[in-house]
Parts: sequence; C-alpha cells; structure tokens
Amino acid sequence: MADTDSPPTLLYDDIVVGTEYEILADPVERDDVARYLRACGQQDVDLYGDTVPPLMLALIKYLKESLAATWPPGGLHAGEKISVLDRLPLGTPFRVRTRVVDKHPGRRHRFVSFDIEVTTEDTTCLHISRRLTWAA
Amino acid sequence: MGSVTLGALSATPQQVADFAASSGSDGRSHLDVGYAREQFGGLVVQGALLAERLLSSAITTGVIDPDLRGSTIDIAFRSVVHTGELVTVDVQCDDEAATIVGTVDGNPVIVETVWPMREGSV
Repeated sequence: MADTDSPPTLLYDDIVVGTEYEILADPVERDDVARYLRACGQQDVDLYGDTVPPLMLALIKYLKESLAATWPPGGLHAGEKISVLDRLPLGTPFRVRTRVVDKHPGRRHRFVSFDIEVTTEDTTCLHISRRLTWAA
Repeated sequence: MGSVTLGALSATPQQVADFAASSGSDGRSHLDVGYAREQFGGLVVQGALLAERLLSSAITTGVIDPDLRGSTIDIAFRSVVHTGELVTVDVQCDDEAATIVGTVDGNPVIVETVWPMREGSV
C-alpha cells in the first residue's frame, strides 16, 4: 500500500514547462531564523535583525512545498540568481509562486529551470531564477 | 581592492543533517552515506548551506550590508563540496560588485556575486 503521507516524487518526464504552482507559506519566526543560521554555522543569529534572511526564503523546501512533491535522488543546484526587492519582516505570511520555465536533457546531465516569486499582501520580496540538475 | 580572505569553513555530517532538517535539502546525496559515496565520492554539503555561510561571513566582516534590498545575488555552484573538506572564503570588491569565492585546494567550488540590481533585470 502506498504511503499517503509521503509526497510523490516528481520525475523529469513529469515536469511540464509553463506549469505554475503557488502556496501560502507559514510565517517565519525568530526561532526559525535562529535554527536556520545555527545550522549554517552562523553564531550571530540576529544578523538580519527583524527580517527573514533572503537566502532562507530561497530554500528548496519552499519549492518542494509549492510543487507538493519530492525530487528524484541525485538532484543538485546548478545555480541561482536572487533579486532582493524588499525585506520580509518576521511573522509575516507570504506566498511562493513557482513557474517551470525550461527543461532540457544534456549528454551527461538534465536541467530544469524555475522562476520563483516570494510575495506578501503588500509587496514582492524576492524573485529567484533557479536551475537544478540531475545526472542523465 | 584585492582579494581578502574571510576565513575557512567546513561542515560535518551532523551539520549537514541538521541543515537538511531545517531547509528541506534532504536528498540522498546529503544524508545517505552509501549512495553519496557511490555517486559523488562522499556526502555532499548542501549548496544552500555554503551560500548562506559565504554571505553571512561577508556581512559579519562588514563587507556587505545585511539590508540587501536592491541587490541581486548570483550564485554559481562549480563542483560539489564533501563533508570535512575545508572551503577557503575570499572576497573581492570593486565599484560594481562584491564577489565571494569558496575554494577547495585552490579550485573554486562556489562563486557568489552581490551587485546592485540593474533596471529591468527582474
């Protein structure tokens, strides 16, 4: 019997260019930021004051949550470009909107590119262009 | 300004596991020793962990302001970093951008460039 609690694995062939996904994410609190920065080895957990670290908003968990899926094993970041448009205050609900913009197979690797936007009711905080890769 | 060394960093398997729990970067390349050894030669440190460590180092040392509004952060992952490998972090600033480079044995593994956003770039 399938484990209904586990999200499905998103296979390369199932990814459709142009598909859009959106979630309303839980607000990030001070403790969440402290846990994240400590896990990164950063001692000063108040480094970003009362706002969420931009790279924390770019974490893969938000992409996975918005797609409601896990990745096939072996997926790696190839690169990303993050435009910081505004700061996200701690405790503020936000939306993550993801669009699949490209995918292509290579001889050794397969690539998938996403555009991701992080917004609140009032403003757009981040725009992220992300490219992931898997061994072919 | 020339290149300035900010320090060196490495991550243990436990730190990688802790980061996986809080970040969602919990793939087998980071957590499954046997799989990671076969596919990548050892456990792989999450790129997101390295990216934050580099950026935090530059902020802590005053090279970059923590208020990053109006900035674009460009991150290129050149090759995987294994747990226990020592990553040396250097930064170079000019009028255009701050470029933070992580190297292992002299080879760049991650390059993070922070520059003012250009009009129409989003």
